[in-house]
Amino acid sequence: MGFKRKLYSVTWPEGHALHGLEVTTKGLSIEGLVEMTRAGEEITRAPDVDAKVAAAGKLLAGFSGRLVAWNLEEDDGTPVPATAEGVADQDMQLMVDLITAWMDAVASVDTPLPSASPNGATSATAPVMEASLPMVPLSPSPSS
Amino acid sequence: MILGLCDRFGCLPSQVLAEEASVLRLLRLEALGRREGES
Repeated sequence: MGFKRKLYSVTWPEGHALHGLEVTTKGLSIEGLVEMTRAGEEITRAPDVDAKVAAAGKLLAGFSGRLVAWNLEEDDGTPVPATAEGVADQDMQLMVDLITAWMDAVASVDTPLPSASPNGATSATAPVMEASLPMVPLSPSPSS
Repeated sequence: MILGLCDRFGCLPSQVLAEEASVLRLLRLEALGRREGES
């Protein structure tokens, strides 16, 4: 049996704009996270359009290089391929939202504690990420 | 952040950068579980 690297599945809870979308990705290194975070900041802060476009390209390439599968569909129901072309062909704002949420899920923890949130995100709308570890159903409790 | 992780794990920045970002989740979980004033 061959070795399978760990994959991550990101889903969004009910009420979130991305609810229903399921994204499976490879892991992201800290270096990758730092580079993509920088690219995300450049998109908003870069003074000229060329720099913004270059940063967006970096962000999309970084994400598509780690994307394994997703259930995103075109308006006519055609599945969008989980490739660089599939990612590049999508609405830019959707991709930026998705990639930002994915990066948050990779590096942060959904805290159960109530806390102020400047951008409106709460633990109830934060993405959920889980590693694809093999799971088996629990055996029935002896007391039930 | 990178230098802090180097101190924490006793390794070079290149090793920290190559590590999976999910280690940051573990560190945040640990911070959430740490009592106030505990180092």
